[in-house]
Parts: sequence; structure tokens; C-alpha cells
Amino acid sequence: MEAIKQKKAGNTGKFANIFYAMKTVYESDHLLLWFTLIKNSMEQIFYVFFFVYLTKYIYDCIEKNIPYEKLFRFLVIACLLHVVIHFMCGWYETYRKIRTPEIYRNIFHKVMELSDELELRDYEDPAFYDTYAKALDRSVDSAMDLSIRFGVFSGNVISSVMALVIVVSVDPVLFVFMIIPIIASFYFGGKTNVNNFNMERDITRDKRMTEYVKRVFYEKKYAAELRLYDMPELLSKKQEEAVDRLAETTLKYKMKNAKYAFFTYGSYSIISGILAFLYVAFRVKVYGAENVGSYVAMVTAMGFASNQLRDAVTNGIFVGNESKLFKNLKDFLERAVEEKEPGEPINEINEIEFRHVSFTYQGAEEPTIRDMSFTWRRGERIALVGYNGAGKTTLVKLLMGLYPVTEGEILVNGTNINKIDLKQYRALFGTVFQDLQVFAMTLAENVLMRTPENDADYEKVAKALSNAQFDIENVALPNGLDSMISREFDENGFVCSGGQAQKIAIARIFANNPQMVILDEPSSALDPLAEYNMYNNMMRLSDGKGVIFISHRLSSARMAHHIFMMKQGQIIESGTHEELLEKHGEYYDMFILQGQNYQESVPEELLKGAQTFYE
Amino acid sequence: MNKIDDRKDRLSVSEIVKNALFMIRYAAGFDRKLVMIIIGLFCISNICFALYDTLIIKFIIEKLQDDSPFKAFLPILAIGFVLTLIGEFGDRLKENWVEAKLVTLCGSVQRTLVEKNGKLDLICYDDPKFYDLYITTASNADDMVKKSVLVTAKLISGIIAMITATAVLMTVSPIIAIFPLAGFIVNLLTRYKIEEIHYLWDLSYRRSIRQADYAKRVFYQPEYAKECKMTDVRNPLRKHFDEALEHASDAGRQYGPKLTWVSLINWICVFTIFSFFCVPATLGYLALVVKSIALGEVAATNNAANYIRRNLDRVNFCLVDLQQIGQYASRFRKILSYETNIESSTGSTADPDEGDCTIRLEHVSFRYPHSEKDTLQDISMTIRPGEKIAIVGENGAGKTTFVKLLMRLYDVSSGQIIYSKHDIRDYAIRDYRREIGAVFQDYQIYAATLGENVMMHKTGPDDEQTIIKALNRADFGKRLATLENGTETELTREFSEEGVNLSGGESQKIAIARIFAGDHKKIFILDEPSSALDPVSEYKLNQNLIANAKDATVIFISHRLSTTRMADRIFLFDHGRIKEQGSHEELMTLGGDYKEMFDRQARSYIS
Repeated sequence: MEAIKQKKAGNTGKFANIFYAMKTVYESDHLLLWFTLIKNSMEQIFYVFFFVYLTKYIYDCIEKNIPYEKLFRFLVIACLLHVVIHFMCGWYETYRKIRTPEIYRNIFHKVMELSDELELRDYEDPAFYDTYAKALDRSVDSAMDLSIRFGVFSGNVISSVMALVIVVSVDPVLFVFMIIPIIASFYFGGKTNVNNFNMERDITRDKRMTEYVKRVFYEKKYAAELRLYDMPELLSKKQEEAVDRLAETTLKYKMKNAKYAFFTYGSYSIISGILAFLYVAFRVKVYGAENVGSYVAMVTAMGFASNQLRDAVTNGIFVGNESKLFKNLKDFLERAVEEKEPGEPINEINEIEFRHVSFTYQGAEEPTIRDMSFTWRRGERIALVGYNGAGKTTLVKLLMGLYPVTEGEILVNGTNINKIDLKQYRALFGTVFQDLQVFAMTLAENVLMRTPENDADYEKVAKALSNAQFDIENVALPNGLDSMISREFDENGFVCSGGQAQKIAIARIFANNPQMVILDEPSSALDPLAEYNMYNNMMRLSDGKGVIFISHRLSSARMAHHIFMMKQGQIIESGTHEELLEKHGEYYDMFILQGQNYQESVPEELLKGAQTFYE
Repeated sequence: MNKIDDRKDRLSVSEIVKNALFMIRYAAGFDRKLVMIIIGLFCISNICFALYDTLIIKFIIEKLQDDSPFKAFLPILAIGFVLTLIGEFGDRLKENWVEAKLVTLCGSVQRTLVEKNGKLDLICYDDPKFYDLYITTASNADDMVKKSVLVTAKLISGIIAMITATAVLMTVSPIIAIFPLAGFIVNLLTRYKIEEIHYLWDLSYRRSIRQADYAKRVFYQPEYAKECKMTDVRNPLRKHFDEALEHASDAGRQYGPKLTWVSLINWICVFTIFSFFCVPATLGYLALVVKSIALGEVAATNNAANYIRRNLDRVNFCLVDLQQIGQYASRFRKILSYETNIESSTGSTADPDEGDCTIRLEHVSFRYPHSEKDTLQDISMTIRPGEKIAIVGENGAGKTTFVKLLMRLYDVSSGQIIYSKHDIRDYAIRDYRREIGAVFQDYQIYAATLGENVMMHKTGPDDEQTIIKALNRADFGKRLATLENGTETELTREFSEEGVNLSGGESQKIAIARIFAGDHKKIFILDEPSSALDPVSEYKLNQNLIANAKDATVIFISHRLSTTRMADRIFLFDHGRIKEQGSHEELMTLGGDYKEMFDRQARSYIS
């Protein structure tokens, strides 16, 4: 009972998904959906007319010796009709080519609106990527495919019913020979689906292995290492093993499928073929049926009807499966409908306070940030220093509301961060991330993060770039500030190095003049001169702003008003550079270690800890 | 090198056929028997159905018409039954058994090509146009080889089925056989044109969609998420996206109507006129006016004609695919015949192990392909065995290119590099590189065990000590102790949920452990190995390197000038030339660029 209910729910879900797919096409272009449905179903229906009705008509004409002119006239009309259908199909193809991008636009604009609602952790959740991103990837083709196949499916159903009506009108008993294979195909179709599902499950890992090996060999970043070490042999071996397992698993499941398919298709060929012929022969020869011509026509009509039925089942199954994929897209697009309370507007940040904030990543056992409290005021420069994995990057992400805190609260001008309009809040920040990205847009757009409108904008971009130490004069830009970055859109686009990308990201801050600045190791790929000049400019121009920066090079930490030394998710020391040095704590150790090569002597006791691994 | 970029070139029919044959031969090279079985299987099942759908049906219809008794049907239907069973059986094997067997074939093709790619000279990667084309061609090879086998089998069997059915037609009326034949010829002529226009449309459409896809990727890939949340980058992105889609529509506007007209000619001739009109009209004429044939023959012939038309449909699709395969194969053949210089070099007999391991550069210059100026210009230096050399300089000064030349990842444009008295080009490439351990700026962690990531080859129990020792030296010992499976720990989450993802600093330590693992390395090359490390780790690393590389030559690139003090000699690169060289003290006394850079960095430390 429960199972039946579930199945029913599954089927209604399927229909809802199919209709959602068609709705998506409809919203993008009304005519495209109608055209798709009509064209694809009409084609199938027309086949009945030609292969069943026309054949029967011709045979009847010959049997009854009707004048040739009448037959000829009928043929001419039928063929003209056929030409009309061709014209419809031909222009449909052109229309489809022109209008399909509209579906893409429709879906993508929705996704863009939606991305506001998504939390950063959604992106970092592999399940999210797997379901939604894949759904999105195939959404356009999938929406069109579903509409087309649904049209064909409807056509299949209508035409097989029509063919069946014709067949039954000649002899109702023939219907029996058609119904048994239909039942068989539903039964084995279900089994095949389960089998395919299990196969996919069992081959995924090996398939991923082969894809991985391919990626490693083809991606540029692995190239030099592969040539210097013996890794290729190891990977090759892994690929071979994976392929062997893959072949074995596939064969096992495919042979099962072959068995099911043999029963399905065999039942059509044998029951509605051989056995039906036997019956027809029996009717004509033993019972002496009168209308031999009609029976003769039925021999082919039944073949046609069973073909149509088989296609109906195949298309039905396809639509069902494909609709599952569309379900993911539907879930994704519709989850935004949940109304969120609009946050309090904010256009100025005076202070941000952390109160006993703790944060644990999803699935992690240990918190990354533990019970942290501090206040950051506008005009204050804070440097975050500490070992790898101390939680510095996580801290700045929390600060910008990119993750919700696990415990405690973050107050912005005294209001909880959850209650303010995050979009407005974030717009007040200028940020350079450790894993910063440049976009396939023009250089000017990459700096402004919008399209430049006038000369003043370009001037601003040029100034920001030079402040960020990006040498516009000496870099071979194909088209000045309007040069496309990356080769995504333009074959002659400018491909920037790691250092140039960092400079572009830093220039964003200079150009947009935000109230608060966050720099998460923005200079790791910069040479010392460029880094020094960049920091100098940044500090000069950020008077009165709040600045937080993370740096491994302690030399830059000295430019801060406050230094937070972090360790295991906590601030273990804080104060000015001088204060921290006097403390002779961990900051002092770190500073001395890094700076020791610039000075003449190194305190001996510091080397002890480092010597543990000497041999 | 750009020779393989000829996608726009049209191929003649004979070239397409030649190319398709090449693909089949290539597939047969991996498993000749399988390819033969597949083609055989397709032919057998198609012949069975062709005989059943034409000959058997013809007999049945004729027997229904004349006055044969019921019993006369039994042997015919029995034969029909057997033919159907064989046909169905063959069809099911075609769909399933063949599919499974091709997995192995495709896997071998893929493996051969990635191995070939692993031997491609690194310089090819610096020509993005060439490399993109190479990659797209090579990475589709398995699918295309599979497609070639299937399409060939379908084409051959489809034609055989048509010949069978035509033979049946001929027995009734040779005139009727003309129509499918005429249809086939018109089809061949127009199909080629249709595919050509379709190909042009597809090229232009895909290009635009690929551009639009970029914007989509930015919106769902995690690495872009933060920037999308923090800025208004969506607006310019949306603009580019909309423009790209407009271009995609334009492709339809440009090629769509042409395609429609040619298709209409094809459909109306092949299907409407030659099939739906001519066949019944002629049959009706023969039966009603000339009265030369009876209903049984009309039905049988009409049936056979329809059968031919259905097969024509299938052959049509095969021809489309064949054209694609032909286009693809011309690129494929070129990548197969592409010769590498460096990676295949076996050298003269010299063995790099004999000799004193001195590295000498004589007037070395290097220029990237398609570049207008030299990246390195007239570099001469001698590095004695065991020396510790630091390379410093601003971004783009040619430091990374310099070490790549030392490893012979690129060949010099002029001048020569001498190692142990021989030009490095005289050594077999693998022997020479075995002398070198390197950590690159963009070191990678592989989805393999920790031990394999250190040894870079399959590990056995004998390697355990080496791995642990190397990891300890690279300061990874503490972290290793926390890993439950020790050196057998699976790295990255690529394949297993239990896999360990290492942080940037930890990964770097693994990369460094690699050079410690190979104990026979004579040269250590480090391209900014410490940029992701915090100061304490960096300090330990530097000390370790010097301590453990006592006999080996160490060449390192560093931005942090503090590190360079450990070097015996420092080379300051500027715009591809050596501007200053000497020990730290010498360069400080010189008072040039090096001193200026050092002072600037040091100022922050010395109050």
C-alpha cells in the first residue's frame, strides 16, 4: 500500500517536473513551445495517415477495382499535405535555432537573482554542486528535450490509438496481440531502469578515476611535474585497473539489460508479428474472411502500431528519467520563493563587534574559531598574523557575513549582523581574497566591477591600477584598458600572471574607495618592491577607513594600529607592534625568526624548536 | 606547430572516407577481433530483419491472396520465427554486449593518448591555441573511435539491408527499384550540403554558447562565490552573457534559412516524391491500368519500398556521423603524427652520472614561440657542484624560465647548457632529469596515497622508511603522526569521503618531501617553495634544505631576500639578463639593486 502511494507521488512529481520544463520554455517564448509540441506530435500522427490509412485505402482501391484517376488524385492531395508538413518542420528548425538561446537567458537570469539567497556554505557543499550545478549545466538542452520528447510521446500515443482503432475496426481480436507486448514492455522497462540505476552507482568511482587521470595529464598545471617525476606510470596503471573494473561491471549489468530487452522486443516481434500473422492466416484461410485487402493492410499496420507503441514507451521512460534532472533545477529555482525578511538598511559602518563568537565548519569536529571577542572601529588598522590554519581567513569571512556564526554574535553598529541588509553591508567593503579571481571581462570592468561610463571612469581605473603597481605601460595589453582579460571571450585576450591578477584585485579597492578594507594575503605573488609600494599606497589612501589585513610577512604588520596574533582559532596576543615585541611572546618569536636573516645574530634558544627535524 | 588548426578547411568526400577508414584501422589496432565481431553482428541482425520484413512478409501476403491452404503458412512462419529470434538476439547484443566490450577498447585508446600527452614537449603548453586544439582532439578520441566503429558497422549493415530489400523489389518490378535508388542519390548530393551548413552553424553557435557558459560557471563555482557576494560583478557579466546569446541567435538567423531550404529539397524529393508518391502511383497504375500485378505483389512491393525508406533514414544519420568523423580524424591524425623533440630524446651514449656535476651555461638565450622578445638573453654562468645558488629579481625577470631550461623542460633558443662536460641535449631525457629534484611554484597533490605522493611512483613496503624520513625532513612529521593510516592515507577527496585534504602549507611540505625522497638527486631546484608557509615553517624548511643538501647543488628562487643570505652566490635577474651576481656581502658592498631591495625589506625589521 505504502509502495503504491509512493509510486503515485513519484508519478505526479514527474508530471509536475515535465510541466515545469515546458513552462520554462513557454515563459521564454510562447510560440516556441506550441511550435515544438505541434510539430513533433503532428509528424507522428501523419505517419498513421500514410502508413496505415493510405495503405489500406490503396489496397481497397485495387481490390475493388476503383478507377486509377481517383487513386491518383488522392495520392496527389496526400503528398501536398506531406509537403506542407515538411515546410512546417523546416521552418521550425530555423525558429528553434534562433529562439533556444532565449531559454538559456530566461533560466540564467533567474539563477542570477537567486544567487543572493545562497549562502557561501551552499557553494562549498559538494552535494550542492553535484545536484544543482549539473542540473543547471544541462537545463537548456533538458528543457527543450523534454518538450520535444513530450510532443513526440503525445504523437506516439495518439497515432498508436488511431492505428489501433483502424486495426480493431478490421478485427477486434487483433487487439489481444497488441496488448500483451505493451504489458511486457512496462514490466521489463521498470526492471531495466532499476538495473541501469545500479550500474551507474557501481561504475561511478571507476569512471571518476579515468576522468581524473585524463584531467591530470591534460591540465597545464600538472605538466612540469609529470615530466620530472615518474607519476605518469602510476597514473597510467591506475587508469588501466579502473578500466578493467569498469568493463567487468558494465558487462555484468549490460547482459542483464540485454535479457530484459530481448523479452520486451521479442514479445513485439513474436506476438504482434508471427502469432498475429498466424491468426490472420487462420481467419482468412479457415474462416474465409471477405475483406482480404484490409487484412493484408493490417499485417503492416500492426507492425506500425507496435513500433509506435514501443516508441511511446521508450519516449515515456526517457521523459520520466530526464524529468528527474529537471526536478533538481526546479527545486533550485523555486527555493528562492521563500520570503526573507528585508534587513535593516545600512550605509555606514562605525564599528563591528565580535562577542564570544565560535564557528565550526559543517562536518568538522573542531571549531575553527573559538570564543572570540574584539571590536573593530572605522579608522582602525588591524593586522591578523599567525600560523597556517589559525583561522584568519575564516575570521574575515565571518566578519562579512559569509558564514553564520555557530555561537555568540556579531554586532554591526550595535545591531546583530543577521538583522541588517547583507547586500548593502557587503557593498561597503573592499576585499581581496587569498584565492582571488579575475573575470573574463575587460580590464576596466575587472577593476570597477561595472561597465565604465565615461572618461572619468577610465581615469579612475588607470590611477587605481598604478596605485596597485600594475604597470599599464609595460604590459602588452592588446586594447588598453578595454583589453579582454582571459581568452574565454576573445582569442587575443590578455592572460594575466598570478601577480598581475593580485594587482588587478587590489586595484578594485583603490577604484571603488570602500569604507572598510579587507586584504587576505593579497601580495603573496608580488615581488618585494611591488609589495612594498602597494602597501605604502594602500595605507596612505586608507586614512579614516577600517582596514584588516592578513599577511605572512610580518614586516607589513608593523603598519597596523593593532596586531592580533592568532593561534588555533583564538587571539592569543594583541597590541601594537612595539607592545607585542616587549611581551616576548609568540609574536616576538615569529618576528625574530623571520627577521633573523636581516640582523646579525639569532637568539640561540629559538633554534632549538626548529632543530627537531634535523639529521 | 599550428598546422593542426585547420577546422575551417573543407574536406572532400574521398578525404572523409579515407579518414574514416583510418579511424577504423586505428580501432582495429587495439582489438581487431572485436571490431570484426561488431561489424559481423550488425550485418547478421540486419540481414535477418531485411529478409523477414521483405521476403517473409511478401510470402505471407501472397499466400493470403492466392488459394494456398492454412498449412502452407506454417513453414514460412517457422522460418520467420527463427529469423526474428536471431535478429532480436543480435540487436540486443548490439546494444549491450558491444557497449560493454567497447569500454575496454575506449579505455585503451584513452590511456594511449594521455601517455602520449605526457610526452608532449612542455613548450606546446605555451601555445594556447595549439594546446586547446590538441586537448579537445585528444580528449574526444575514445568517444570518436567508438563512434567510428559503430557508425561503420551501421553503415555497412544498413547498405546490405537495403540491397537485400532492393533485390526483393527487383523480382516484382525493376522500375519500382529505380525510385529508392534515385532517392538515395538525391540524398547523397543534398546531405553533404546540409551537413556543411549545419557544421558552420554549429561552430558559430557553440562558440557563442561557450562564452555564455562562462558567466554561468562564475555563478555556481565555489571559487567565485565570495567575489560574487561582495561585489556587483553580476552586472557586467550579465551584459556579456546577453551579448553572447544574441550572437548565438544570430548564428541561427544566418544559417537557419539556408539549412531549411536545402533540407526541404531533400525531404520533398527523397520522401514525398520518390517514396510516398511514385511507388504507390506506379503500383496502382500497374495493378489498375496495366493489370500486370495483383494485390499481393502490390502489398509486398509497397512494404519493401517502405522498408528501404526506413533504412535510408538510418543510413542518412550514419552519413552525418561519418562526416563528423572525417572532420575529426583529420585533426586526430595530425596529433598522432606530431613529433616531439625533447621528451623523446634518447641522447647519445653519455651517462650524466659520470662526471663532476658542474653546470655551465654558455650564452644562453630563450624566446617563447610567438613572442617578440627574448625572455632570457645571453646568460652565461658556471655552477659548481654543491653550490647553493639564489635567483632573485622582479616578476617577469625570467627566473622560472631559467630553471625550466635547466631541467630541459624547454630547449634553449641559442647557446648551450653543459652538465658534467656534455651538452644536456646529449643525455637521454629521463637519465638527465633523474639527477634533478624540483619543487615548482604550482606544485600539485595527486589523488593517491601520501606515500605515492612523496615517491611519485607505486610504493612497496621497502619505501616506508624513505617516505617517513623524507616527510620528517620536510617538517611534515607532526602532521603524519595525526594520520590514522600513516603513509597509506588517501589524499584529496577526489575518490573517497575519507580522503584527507591538506592545507596549502602542508601540501607544499609534501612537494618538498619529494626531493628528499629521491636520495640520488644531484641538483635541487626550488621555485619559491616557501610562499605558502608561515615564517616559522619557512625558517625550518630553509634550514633543513641546506642541512640535507650538503653535497647537492641547490638552486632556489625566492622573493624573501632574508632566505637568500643562506646562498653561496646570488644572481639578480633583470629583464632576462643577469644584472648583479656575487655573495650577499659582495652585493651589499656593490650597492646596486640588490642592496636597495634588501634594505627596503629589512627596514621593517630593524627598528
